[in-house]
Amino acid sequence: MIKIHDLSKAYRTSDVETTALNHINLEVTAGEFIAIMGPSGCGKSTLLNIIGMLDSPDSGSYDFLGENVADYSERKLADIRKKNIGFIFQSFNLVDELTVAENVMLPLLYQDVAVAKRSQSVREVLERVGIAHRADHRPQQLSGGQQQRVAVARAVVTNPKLILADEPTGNLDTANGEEVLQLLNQLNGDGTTIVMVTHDQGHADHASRVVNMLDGRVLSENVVRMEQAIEARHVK
Amino acid sequence: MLSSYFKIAWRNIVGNPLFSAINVVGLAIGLACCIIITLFVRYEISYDKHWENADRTYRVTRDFFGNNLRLARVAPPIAPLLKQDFAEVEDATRILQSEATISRGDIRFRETQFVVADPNVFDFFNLDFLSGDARSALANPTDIVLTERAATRYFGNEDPIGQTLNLMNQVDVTVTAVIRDLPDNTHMEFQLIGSMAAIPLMVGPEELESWGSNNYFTYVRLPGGYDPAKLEAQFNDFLVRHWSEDAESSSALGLQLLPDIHLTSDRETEWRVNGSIDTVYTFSAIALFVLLIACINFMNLTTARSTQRAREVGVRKVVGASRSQLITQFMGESILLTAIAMLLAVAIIEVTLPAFSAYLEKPLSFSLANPVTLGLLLVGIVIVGLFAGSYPALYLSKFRPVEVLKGPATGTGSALLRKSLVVFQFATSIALLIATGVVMAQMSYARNMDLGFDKSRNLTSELPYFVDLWEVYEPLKAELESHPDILSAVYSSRVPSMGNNDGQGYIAEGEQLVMENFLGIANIKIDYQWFDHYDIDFVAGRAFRQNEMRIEEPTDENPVVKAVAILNVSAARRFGWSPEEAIAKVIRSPMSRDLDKFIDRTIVGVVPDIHFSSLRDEMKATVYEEPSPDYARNISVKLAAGDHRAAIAHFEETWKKLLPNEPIFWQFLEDRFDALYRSEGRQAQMFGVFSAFAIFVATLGLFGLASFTTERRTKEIGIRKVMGASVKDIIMLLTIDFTKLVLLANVIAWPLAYFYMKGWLSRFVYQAPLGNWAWLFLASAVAAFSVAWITIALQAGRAATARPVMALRYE
Repeated sequence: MIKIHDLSKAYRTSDVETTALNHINLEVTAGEFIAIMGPSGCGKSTLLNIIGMLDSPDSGSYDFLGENVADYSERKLADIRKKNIGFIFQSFNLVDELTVAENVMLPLLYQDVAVAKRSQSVREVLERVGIAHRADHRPQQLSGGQQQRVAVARAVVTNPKLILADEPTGNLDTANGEEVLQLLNQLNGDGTTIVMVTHDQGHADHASRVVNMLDGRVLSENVVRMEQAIEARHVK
Repeated sequence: MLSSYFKIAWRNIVGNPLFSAINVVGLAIGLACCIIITLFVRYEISYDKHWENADRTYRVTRDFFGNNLRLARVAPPIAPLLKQDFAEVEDATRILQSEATISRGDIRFRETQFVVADPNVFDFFNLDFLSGDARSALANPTDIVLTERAATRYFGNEDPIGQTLNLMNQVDVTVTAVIRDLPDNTHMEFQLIGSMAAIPLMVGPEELESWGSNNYFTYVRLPGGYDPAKLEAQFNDFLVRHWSEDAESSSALGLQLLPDIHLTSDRETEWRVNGSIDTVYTFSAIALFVLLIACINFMNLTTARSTQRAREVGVRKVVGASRSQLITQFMGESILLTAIAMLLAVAIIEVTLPAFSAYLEKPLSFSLANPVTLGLLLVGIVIVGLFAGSYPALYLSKFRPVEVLKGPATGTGSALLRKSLVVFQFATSIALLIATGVVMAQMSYARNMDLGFDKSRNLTSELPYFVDLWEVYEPLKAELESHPDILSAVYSSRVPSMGNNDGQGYIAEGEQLVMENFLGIANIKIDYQWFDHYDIDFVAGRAFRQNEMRIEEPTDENPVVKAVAILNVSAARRFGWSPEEAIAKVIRSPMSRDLDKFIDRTIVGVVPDIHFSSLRDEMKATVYEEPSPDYARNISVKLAAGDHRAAIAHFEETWKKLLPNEPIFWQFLEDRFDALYRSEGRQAQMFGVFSAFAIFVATLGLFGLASFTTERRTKEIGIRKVMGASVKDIIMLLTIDFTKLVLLANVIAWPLAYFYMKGWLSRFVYQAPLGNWAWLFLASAVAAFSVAWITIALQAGRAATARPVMALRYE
């Protein structure tokens, strides 16, 4: 699904250049659940943003579903993004002015899904994450865990092939964090590929493979659950 | 999708009441100003366009170079001669504006809108005939045409056709037609039209041949597409042919297109005070400024609170929104907001338009039932919405999700633009404020200026034309002066404030009697006590004596009559004399076209120049002469200080006794002078209203901006307080930025206002000196700073007094 080769990215301010990614190579196979770990500033969020096509690399290649997207225009990237990728953020990023259901419906609006189908999809996915009874509430009226479940629902409502989660449990207490991870596991079980950035070794253990990063480089890749990795290759 | 946009737009509006209120109120005021001004402008440019052939009908004007007279009226022989001489003059007509006492039995009015016109006047001005026939209505000398309003005044519900009215207690005239009232949007005004054929009978057989009686509005119709300059080029030859060989050096004729008269003509002897194209431009510009300031509020506040919307933009982009979809969404929001503002604007207009309309004395109307109006409002909503929303939409939709989803981020580029816009808003407001002040300073200068005479406590009136001047005036004067509260009563052909537009050719004794040696100088006919009455001291010589007041007309047997005259200083200078030199000199004025009859006047005194009209006009060289029955007969009555009621009652009783058939009419001289500045006074007030709006809207914007800035800096404020900053320090911190902006706005506004108002003042020959209004610059600055500081301090104070822990917890 994802092939990253020799990819670099640096951030420049007026007088300092910070290398965020330094000649990274990474492959992700469809059906995998990958955790990216590493200390603050190691480049894991940058990598996730590039995978999610929210940011573009300075050099190297990035193949997504067989297309090299490294030099695509923003318009084209947006199109690939909305068809294939769902995002989950540490800070939830729900729109305060919209209700839970409307937040979840947002991606469907931009994909021109028929009205009847929209409500049905939203209802289904809210049931799936167990928040259907809060459909008409505003995000501020929910707990952090509930908000993140809404964010998960929004990420999966379009049935994306890939879900990118940037520290999805970072703002949650242990119990709520665990619940969100269960949800992700479930989605992965249903065949969705997941790439998750996390600090927490315990949470990383849910993944099939852990990528450890430091100073913009990949240090090691540990297969956590071999059977899943094999299964994933099989799916491919 | 649309409903989703609408929903979030609506929730954004409702969810941010301060932001929305500032924008809606600001935009509504801006839109209301614009619409009201548009109604005013549309009305102003509609003048005289409604006449058939308006595009090829011209008014003939006349200039006299000697005494710098620019007249809107010309001599009566000109119309028939133009038609006779030039094939391209399809037709010509004349209207003489007059005043007359008209009566029907006991119903008696002094008609100020009585005119006398050629029978073909209705070919030029296609008035609606309710009864009677346009072709024959003015055929006979005793015909009269009435407007509906005038007809009702005399005849109520009776049919006026064929009925009789009495004109000036002289002749009976017959109503031949009734026409619909004149529309207000024309440069003319009349309610009763007499026949030109009556003039030779009533005024004298020579009147319509007189080249000196420049009292006749004259209109000509030229062929379609004909260039009027071609006709104007032949006017000098025309004057040489019919009037004088020296025409080129003394007088010229011109043409004015009918619909241009109202906004571009400002001549002496206009029908009434015209509009001014400058006023139209100025008001339009101010209205646009107010709207622009409101649009800037929207831009500034929307981009200032972009942090609040940044996440929404990021999320929408992440889930698949394209930039153009986001631009559409934000544009839609600003259009929705503008639509709400427009509803409020319409409400404001409905409430205030009658007042504006009455104030401007224009029948402005506004109706939503009119599909054109409705269409224009919708177009207005879209244009203003797109304009106000353009920058925020481009700015917001540019956010990159990577940056905005991480945390609060705002571009510094927009902060600079925002600051520039605030400077623009304040510079505009300050300039408007100064402009208002300068207009008012000039008004107060005009009102309080020493006019060279004492205008206080003077009651003025005019005696009728068709009575013997001496028979009425002398008993009237004696009767009035017998009252203890009346100090003196004097006659003059014109009273100050009327302008001195009567004139005459004069030649100094000893000069050769040829046209080019004659000086055209204004003259005023006065009573011997006139200078004493108006408290004017002599520079040299003496006043008239009572026995110098009546002179004989020159005759064939006695062709030169001797008399006396008093000059003002400018007139003495025109003859080349100092005031002292002028005394005992003789000036001669011709009393016949063949230059064989004269009046020789010995100069007995010289007086200072006085302001006979508004400060727009220069004081004119003037010759004061003995009374003449051929001129208008104005009287001035000086009242004693204190209660005037007894004196006025005595005046009215005396009038009734001596002039039982004339309606009573009087006016205070001070009111006449105030009327001269009426249009400037209105302009000042309109300036004031609009600059108040501009400042209010700009302040709203500053308030909003300050509240958002403060909110954004809450954490910084907390940290500074933890570090030991006092409340004062914090307020200073937050105020200093805006202070710099207001300072810069002053620097920009001052020179702009100065040069613009210098230009405005240049229309006055006598201008309020800079010292009278220099303080306005400082005052406007103080006002702007005060408004800005109070607004910001309110916000900053709240942030500064909050406990720091609240601020630190904020992010």
